[in-house]
Amino acid sequence: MTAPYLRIERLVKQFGAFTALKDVSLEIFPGEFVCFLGPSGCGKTTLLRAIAGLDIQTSGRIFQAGKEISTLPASQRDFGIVFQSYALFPNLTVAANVAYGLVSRGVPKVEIQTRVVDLLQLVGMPEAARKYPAQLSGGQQQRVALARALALSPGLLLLDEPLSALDARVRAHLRSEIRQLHQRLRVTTVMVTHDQEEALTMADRIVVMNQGVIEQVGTPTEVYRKPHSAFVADFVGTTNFLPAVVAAPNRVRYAGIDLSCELDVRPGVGHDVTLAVRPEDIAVRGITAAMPNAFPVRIADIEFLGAFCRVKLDVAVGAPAIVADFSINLVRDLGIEVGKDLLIAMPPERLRVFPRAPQLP
Amino acid sequence: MAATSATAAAPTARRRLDRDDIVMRAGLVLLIGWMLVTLVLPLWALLSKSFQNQHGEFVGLANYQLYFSTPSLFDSVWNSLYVSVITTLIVLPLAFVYAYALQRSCMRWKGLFQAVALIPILAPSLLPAISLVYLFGNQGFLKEFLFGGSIYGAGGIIVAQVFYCFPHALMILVAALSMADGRLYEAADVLGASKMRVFFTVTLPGAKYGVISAGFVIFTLVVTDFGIAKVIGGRYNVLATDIFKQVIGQQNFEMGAVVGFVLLIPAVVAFAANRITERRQVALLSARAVPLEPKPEPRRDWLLLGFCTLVGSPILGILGMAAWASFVARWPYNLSLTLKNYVFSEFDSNGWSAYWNSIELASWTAVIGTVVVFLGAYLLEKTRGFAWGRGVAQFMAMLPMAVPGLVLGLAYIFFFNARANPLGFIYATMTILVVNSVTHFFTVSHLTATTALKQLDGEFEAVSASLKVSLLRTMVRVTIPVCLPAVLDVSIYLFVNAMTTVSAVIFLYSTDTKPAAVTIVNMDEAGFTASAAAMAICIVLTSAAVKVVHLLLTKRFERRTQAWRKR
Repeated sequence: MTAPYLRIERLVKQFGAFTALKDVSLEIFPGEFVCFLGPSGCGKTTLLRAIAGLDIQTSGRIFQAGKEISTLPASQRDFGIVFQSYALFPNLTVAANVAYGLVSRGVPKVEIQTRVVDLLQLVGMPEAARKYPAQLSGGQQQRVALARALALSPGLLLLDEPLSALDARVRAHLRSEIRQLHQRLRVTTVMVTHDQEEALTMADRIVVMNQGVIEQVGTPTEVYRKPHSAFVADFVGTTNFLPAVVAAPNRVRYAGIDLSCELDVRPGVGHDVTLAVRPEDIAVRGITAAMPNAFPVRIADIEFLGAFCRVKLDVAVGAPAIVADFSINLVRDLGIEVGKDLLIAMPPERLRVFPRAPQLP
Repeated sequence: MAATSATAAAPTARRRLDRDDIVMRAGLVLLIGWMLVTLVLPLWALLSKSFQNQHGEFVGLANYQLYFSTPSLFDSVWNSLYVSVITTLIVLPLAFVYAYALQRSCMRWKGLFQAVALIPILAPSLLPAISLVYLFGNQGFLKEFLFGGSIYGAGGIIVAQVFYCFPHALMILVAALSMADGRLYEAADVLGASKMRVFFTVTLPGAKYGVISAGFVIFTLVVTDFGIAKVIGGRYNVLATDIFKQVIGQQNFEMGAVVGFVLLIPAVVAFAANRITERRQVALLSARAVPLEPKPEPRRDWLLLGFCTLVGSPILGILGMAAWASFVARWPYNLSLTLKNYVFSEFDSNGWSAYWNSIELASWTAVIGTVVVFLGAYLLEKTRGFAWGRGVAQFMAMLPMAVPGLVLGLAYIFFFNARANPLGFIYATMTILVVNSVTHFFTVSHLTATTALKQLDGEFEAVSASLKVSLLRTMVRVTIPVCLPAVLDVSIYLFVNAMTTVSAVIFLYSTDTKPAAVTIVNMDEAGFTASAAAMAICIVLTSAAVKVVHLLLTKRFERRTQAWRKR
């Protein structure tokens, strides 16, 4: 395995009595695109700013490219940064903004010029060189900010919620462009975001954070398919949380139904647990009563969402309803309508079992 | 979680300082040093002087005991409070309605009325007092309207103060009334609230902090003003004139220091109260607020037009009176017009050189003050870490606002004239006048600069660091160019104030450096009232000319930079 490009060791950050980062350790490998994902206040931006040296950690160490940078000021670290607010210099043209770091490095004028042209080409803004930031749209400004951050060819690119200030369409477009740019340059990139879709589509690996700790690190598929905690299952995507009790080492009982699963909870038989299953994982086609985890339900409500329908399924009196996503195709084929009885199955390999969290059923 | 035990053992990380940090911290230390020498140590000298006798021996509270047991001295405290409170009560409603007309009505000629109301800011406070003497004084041509009463005394002081304080209050209230969320008014309308009810439940609460702040500003202005009471106060003693009498008249510096300290109290209290109210004020406007567009309402608009005319014409009248008087040959016997009152050498040994002294003083104050203020504000805003240094500097930057000019001037005598002070050589030079003026007007300038800096994106410095560009370079290339309008505002503010102020410099000038505003006091004292008026007019015209240049420069800046400024 290659050596990590960025190594974070037991980082703690305190703001007065509040602890924003609680003993966080992490490794990021060369050329990786990593997303810090979490709700606001989870510590993701604090971690990014510690990596940049903008707000230094209270304790803990950071290594970049094998060198310890724990206490270096930002000006002596090697990174380019893009902020949500763009932070473009308003009185300088786009070209001057991109050239800002090159000029004070004493790069010859001709070289600066070709470099600026190349960078603007790279971010798809070759015509904007002579314009001022205020004359550009938000998405265009963010591309310029990206070009400026890449101007000194930094070893590390930091993106602090770069897409959050943009409207949905521009955001989706820029998302794939940043991803493509990364594929081309292969610069190690860390992006902070609270948008799970952004993280799932862009990242090689996602670091899910909550209340100052890392809940899970993994590829988008791992994080989505095999969430390590109820928090991750809840924050990334939609999940049914169902109260259940451990019935046998690999069986749980929910609403009087025995379900088999790949057990991954410690508590033994008789303990309360939370069963998690994604709405799209609920199987309907070709289900027979003999199949594992099959049981009857009644359709309580159908919500039409365009490409699919979100269907509420009643299991038993008193038990919370299960939510399932059915494609329009399926709704049509099976004649799904409110009041209809149905046989469904929850595939054992798709079930996750977590210790009962107080705020969840 | 095991983290807690682990953190206890882990060593605390401290960021190493880069060159920017060192430069910034050194700058901040310099700023603190500057404020120590120009403000804190002089005030300390004043305070300790008030506990000494004439031989410099410590006598405890003896001076204070004498002060509070001498009715002729102590009465001034009540007199000062009386004229300040009455002026505040008169100015506040006048200025509020005037500001309301400017901001919330569709009255005609708003620009004209705003300009008229702000003119007094360009004049020394002595001007309205001199005008009132011409109008209602012993030889005033409207004297009969007083029915045997005298303009010299509390009445005259209050009327002149109303003129002088009006624009200061107006600016604050205009700003307070400019912030309004149109949606609140629509909601009130839809709910069927009467106009009166809307005013008392939406308009007034929204402007509450502006009104309070304006009240404190007027109070402080009146309590600390020296010129008006000097010219028109007659035998009505106030704190400001007492200091002058003790120090210049009786050479009793110790008692002067006591009065100075007493004068400091109401100013500091008003200042502190104002700061506390400001802190309570939360942003009234959310980002989603819809600006309120006043709709025409003929009856209201005409009523307000009438009101503004009633308030505006005396302002022009008082100004016009001074202008006219300055050209009259011999009031009230020979009303033919002449320029001889402007031949100042006939009336004051300094002649026109006093005017040029003021120009020199105002120019240096504007240049040096702007540099010190902006660098100071930048250092305070952008220095990372170094919390105690920033805290101390911030406190010192706010302090001058609470120190009346007379007190500062007196403090400078004690500090810079002390035999042991190595800086004593600046005493009685232009330098001390400039340093004094920069310090006297520091706080308002500092707040203007800070506001401008806060409007910039806070991440410019982070971006610079990531691009390995020094803060100094970013300041020169980005921060200052973007803040240029505020830089101009600060320099004009300093220029106009240095041009018009009397209170701080009256203790500090020498025969070679006597400023124009001081010669007004001298000529008025010597009975050359027409020349005093003439000099006041010279000051007004100069301030006005500078203001016009300022407006033109700002316009030009806006035109040249409209490509990059936010629309």
